[in-house]
Amino acid sequence: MSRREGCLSDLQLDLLLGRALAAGEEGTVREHLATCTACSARYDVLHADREAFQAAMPPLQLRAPEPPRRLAPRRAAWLGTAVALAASVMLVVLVGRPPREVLEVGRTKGSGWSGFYVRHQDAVREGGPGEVVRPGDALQFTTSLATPRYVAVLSLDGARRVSLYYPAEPTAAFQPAGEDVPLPLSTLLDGTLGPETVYVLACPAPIPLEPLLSALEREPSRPPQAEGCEVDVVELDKQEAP
Amino acid sequence: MRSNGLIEQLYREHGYLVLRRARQVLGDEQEARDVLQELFTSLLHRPGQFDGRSQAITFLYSATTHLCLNRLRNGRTRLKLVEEVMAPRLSEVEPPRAERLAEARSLLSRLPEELREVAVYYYFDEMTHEEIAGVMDCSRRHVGNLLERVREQVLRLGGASGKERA
Repeated sequence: MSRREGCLSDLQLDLLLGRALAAGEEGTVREHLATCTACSARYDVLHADREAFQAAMPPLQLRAPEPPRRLAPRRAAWLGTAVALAASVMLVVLVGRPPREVLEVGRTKGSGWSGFYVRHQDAVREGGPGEVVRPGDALQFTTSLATPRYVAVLSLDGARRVSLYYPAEPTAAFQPAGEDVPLPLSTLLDGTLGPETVYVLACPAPIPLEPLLSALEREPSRPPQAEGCEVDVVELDKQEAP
Repeated sequence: MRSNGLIEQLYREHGYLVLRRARQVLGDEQEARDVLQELFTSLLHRPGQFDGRSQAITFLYSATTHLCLNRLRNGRTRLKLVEEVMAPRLSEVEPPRAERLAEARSLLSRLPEELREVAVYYYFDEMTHEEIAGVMDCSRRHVGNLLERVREQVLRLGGASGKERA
C-alpha cells in the first residue's frame, strides 16, 4: 500500500532484528538500509519498539490447573514437565512505586535491587520485608539492574523445602537492565504455612541452578552462593487466610 | 522450540512483533495484548504447534494472523471494525498510515473468510507474493490467485486495492 518498490517489508526488518536472515540476505538488507532513509527510519522504529517491549514486558498470564511446583523429593523429573510451569505462574498487575536504586556491579547481598508485588484475590500491593502472604497469593518479582544479568529465584518454605520459582528451566535466565523490570513469570503460593525465605540471584552468566538447589537442601541455613552473583533475600510469613 | 525456557526466550525476543502486528490488525490495544498472551500461553501448553520447519519469526507472523482473524469473528470486534469510517481516496496524496490501516481493517472485516489471511499479509504487512508464500507455506502462484480474488472483492466493495508487489 505505501511501501516503495524495492523497499524492505517489516518481515525482513524483523528477521534482521532477530538475526534470522541468511548471511547473503543480511548483507543485501544492510546495504539497502544504508542507502534508504525510509527503510532506515522504519528499522529504527521497529528496533525501538523491540527495546521498549523488552524493558517492560507484560508477564505471561498462565492459568494454574494444579498446586504450585515443588522440587522435593523428585526434582529432576519435575523440572522437565510443562505442567509444573503452568501450575506455578499467574499474572500480577503491576502498580506504580517509587524509584529504586539500580544494582551496580560489586554490591553485596541484601542491597534491595529486587522487589516484589503480591496479588491477593483481586488486590495488588507492593511487598516488603516480613510480608504476610496467604496460600493462593501470587508473587511477581521485579529487578532494578544497571546492566543486564541472569536471574533466578529460589525459595525455602516453612517445611524447609526448596523450590525454584524462576525461571522454568534450571538455568538462570536473561534479565534486561532497567528500573522495576518484572520477571516474565510470576509464582502462585502453595498451602505450606510458616516463614519462607526467597533468594533472588543476579549473575553475570546463565549459571546452572541445580547445584544451588541441592546445596540449599543440604544446608538450609546457608544462602545460595555462586561466583559473581548478587543475592537479594526476601523474608515472607505465610499465614492461613483469616 | 520444545522447552519452556526456549518459549520464554521466544517471548522475550519476538513478543514485540506479535504485539505490533496484533495492534495493526485489530486496532485495539487490549485485544492486541490478549493475542500476545493467548499465543504464548498456548505455545507453553502445546509447544508442538511450532514444529521447527519454519523460522520462529515466520511462525509467529502466521500464528498472530490466525489469532487476530479468530478475534475478528468475535461479534464485538467485528462490529467495532465495521463501524470504522472507511477513508476515501480522493487525492493522489498517500493517506497517513493510521488512516490506511483503518481502511484495511474495514475492508478485512468484509472479505470472505478464506481471503482474510492473505489480505492481512498484503495490506497490513505489505509483503511481496514471495514473502506471503513463505509465511503461508504455499506457492507464489496460489498467493497470486488468492490476491486476484481479493482484488475482485475490493473493487466490488469500493476499496483501494493497492499497487502490485510481486
